[in-house]
Amino acid sequence: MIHFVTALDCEASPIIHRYGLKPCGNHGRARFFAGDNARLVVSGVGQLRSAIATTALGARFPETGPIWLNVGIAGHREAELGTGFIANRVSSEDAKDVYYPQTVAPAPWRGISVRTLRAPSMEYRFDCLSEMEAFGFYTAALATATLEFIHVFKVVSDNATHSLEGKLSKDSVSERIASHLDSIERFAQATLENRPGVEVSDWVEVTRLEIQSIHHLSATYKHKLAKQLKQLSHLLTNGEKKVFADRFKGQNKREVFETIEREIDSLSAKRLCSGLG
Amino acid sequence: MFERIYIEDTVRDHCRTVGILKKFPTAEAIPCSRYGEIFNLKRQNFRVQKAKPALILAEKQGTKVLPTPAEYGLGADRHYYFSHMLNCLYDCRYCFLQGMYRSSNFVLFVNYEDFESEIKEVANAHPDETCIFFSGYDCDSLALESLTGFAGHFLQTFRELPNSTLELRTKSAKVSSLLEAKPLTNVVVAFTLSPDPVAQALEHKAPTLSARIRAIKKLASHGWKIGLRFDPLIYFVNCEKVYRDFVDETLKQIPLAAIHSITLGLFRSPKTIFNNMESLYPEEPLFMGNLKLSNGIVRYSEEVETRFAETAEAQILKHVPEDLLFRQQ
Repeated sequence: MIHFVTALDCEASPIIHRYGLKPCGNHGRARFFAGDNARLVVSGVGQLRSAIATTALGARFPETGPIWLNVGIAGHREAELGTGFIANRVSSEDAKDVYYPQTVAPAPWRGISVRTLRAPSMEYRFDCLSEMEAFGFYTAALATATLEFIHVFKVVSDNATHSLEGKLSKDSVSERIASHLDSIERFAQATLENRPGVEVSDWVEVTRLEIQSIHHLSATYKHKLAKQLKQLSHLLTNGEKKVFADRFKGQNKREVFETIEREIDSLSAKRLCSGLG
Repeated sequence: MFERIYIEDTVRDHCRTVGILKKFPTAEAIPCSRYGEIFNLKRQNFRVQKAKPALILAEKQGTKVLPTPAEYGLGADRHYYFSHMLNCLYDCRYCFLQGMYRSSNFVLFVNYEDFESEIKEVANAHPDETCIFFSGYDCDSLALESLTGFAGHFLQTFRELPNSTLELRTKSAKVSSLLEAKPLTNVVVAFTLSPDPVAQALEHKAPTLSARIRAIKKLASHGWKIGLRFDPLIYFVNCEKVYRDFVDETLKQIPLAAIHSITLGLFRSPKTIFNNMESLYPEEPLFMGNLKLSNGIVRYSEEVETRFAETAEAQILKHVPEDLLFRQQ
């Protein structure tokens, strides 16, 4: 799943079109769109709006696991219009904090520092991109993801030779972003492949509820039970899982936990160097 | 190898920085003020970054040589450790680094001369005492030698410090730089060794046991002193027999005269570090069973520890005299 955050409708429209996203509500000015493989929020201009919209998207869809991408336009002193960059450093003129996104997949664009400004500026720099949302987006996205899964992608919309001067061609913005969407998709999927795929089996929840329906457990013991059942789910075969709960029949709470702990001790010692030695 | 190299402003023009950047001409060079800006950031995933770590070139500031805890001794009067690098090329599942650091990016402190000065200062402050300086606490001492030139540099340092010993702790089988150098009597090349089942299950990306033993034999025949580090001992079904056979097979191949010391220690970890390791690898059997919390340390039960350690010790002592064996608590 990819979570996109854009400031403008013209930045969002090629993404909405590509992923077939449908409107699904709003949070203040922020407007949500969702589909099977991606979600998007249009935040409005500025890092505060971007931060609010990112947080709202995360709260609306709280699953762990997406990659977060801030996609938008930026200015650079001399880079050609339409050139794409990925941020290797995100800073703000309003804050001391600096973020260094970590890539774990090949990125087909050059990395560059992205500096978030309070207001549009015609003072272009050659060592960074200037824009108005990335820092707010990044700060907010860190509440739900780690550095490896939060990235900023910007397309150069203006430079010293072709400044915007208050005029923004929405069509050209959309076209420029659309031209990078294949690469963005590949980068996002390659990054997501690095997410540790530790699935929790349904067996854990079923067994947990079964035990808790019989024995009253304190919050501490509920937490302990959940953790130990997750461990067991990695150690037991599917066949063993089916009959495991039978072992608790007639046992009191202490005996149930002793059985679980004994089984974890035994199976972890077997599985650790299984088949060898 | 590295697609991104972060460079602290203070070491941008350092000769080692320049030399390393030349080895990676296509890498993205990203400036930073201090390595901690990248390395210490919260909300990083050590496990995910291990797929593609970056390199951070930095200056080590503050104290560079620290005394080791009392239980990590090799019979010298004083024991110290120093870390020219943070993080390791290998990915051993029992390693505390994955629980201690937020990032698996490599940090290389290029100011070797400052480490050298401090080592000399410490050694010269205790001229009548034997001092051992351990490297390889936060990294592998030799795995990235072609990049760092660490061993080559510090062999020169210890050539001038005959009352001090340098231990190069490693799992690397790349020992050509040592084979090309004249052996020093006050340098110990100490290899961490585990039986094949443990190496295959837990020592990801590290050279095989047989590759390490081949390296040991080459070094021994060249005149280098060898340390054998059976640490950590890992408990699993039938482990005692496996370790007995492993000790026999290993010690049969290494000339006794070349052995400086043997240490053994059981798997153990401070609780906070263990918790981090466990959360990174919730599916790892190593972190699941047969472990108890005792005085803030996660370790095997006393019964397992005693039985296991006694078995390993007894087997080792069939091959070497007692004064070569040190047990790490």
